[in-house]
Amino acid sequence: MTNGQTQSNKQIKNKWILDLTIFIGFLIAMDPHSTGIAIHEWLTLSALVTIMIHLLLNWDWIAQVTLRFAGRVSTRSRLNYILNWLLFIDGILIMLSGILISESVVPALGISLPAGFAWRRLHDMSANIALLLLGLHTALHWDWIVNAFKTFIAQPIGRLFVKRDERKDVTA
Amino acid sequence: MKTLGRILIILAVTALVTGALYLIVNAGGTGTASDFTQRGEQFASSSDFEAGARPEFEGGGREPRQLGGGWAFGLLKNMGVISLLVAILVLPKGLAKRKRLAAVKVKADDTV
Ligand code: HEM
Repeated sequence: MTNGQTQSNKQIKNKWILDLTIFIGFLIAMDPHSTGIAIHEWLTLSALVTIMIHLLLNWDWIAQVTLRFAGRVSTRSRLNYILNWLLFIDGILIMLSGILISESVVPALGISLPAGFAWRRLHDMSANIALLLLGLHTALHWDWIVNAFKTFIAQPIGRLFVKRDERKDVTA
Repeated sequence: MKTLGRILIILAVTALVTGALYLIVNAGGTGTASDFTQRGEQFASSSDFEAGARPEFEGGGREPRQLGGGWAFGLLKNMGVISLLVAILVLPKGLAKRKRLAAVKVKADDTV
């Protein structure tokens, strides 16, 4: 149920870089005490664009599993699909609650929202749930992540050293 | 055109889920802070929040932040949670695969 075979190396590389960016962005978003609220809010809102691209790049998989969900789909894909929906819903809850308790972006737009105690708790809770879901999401895609790392990072670095050794051999 | 259609589908689903979540949470009747502020309590202001204070939560806040080590601790803690989950789910699968391969090798050696 992977669409890996039909994707070019360049597409896989782009996907991998985008996913890594989202992952690092999420880790930064998880610590607003260090970045400050303003950076936290602007960074996470701009990350919405990367999430949209992530969904578009994985559209074929999403469409295939959605159409076949009740029929012939591997348990792994089904599990993955359910987990992705949970992550999507939880992500929306983080953003919605974030906007409703915003102290920087929303006031800057001249809008004032009533302080929401429950939304604050929900923001904190949904962020913690997202951390767990992201861990599961990463685990389910671990082979893909490791393969892409080998292909686009480890092997090119390894080749650099081999080339240098070859050059040494020639000059020796 | 195809991409635009897909973007619209994603936005429509997002709007639906957002609306549903908003209704569900507000139906709980705890969405606003009016009774909480009436008790004279306050949310943490931005600067207090960044220093770790959380008067709106029981206990009033977290450990005071140590300058220099705070961000690294948060990052490491979150990375730790993700690594733990990956290890729990991925390692047993790798070990089982290795065992299976070893069993196949022993079988092949026996037949030689
Ligand atoms: C990926 C998205 C996001 C993640 C993972 C995230 C995560 C977090 C976390 C972990 C906290 C600390 C909660 C605590 O210490 O109890 C927090 C606080 C906060 N976040 Fe976010 N957040 C995200 C998006 C947003 C957005 C889009 C906004 C607003 C536009 C926002 C506004 C805030 C505010 C105002 C606080 C401080 C509120 C308080 O005092 O509890 N967040 N966020």
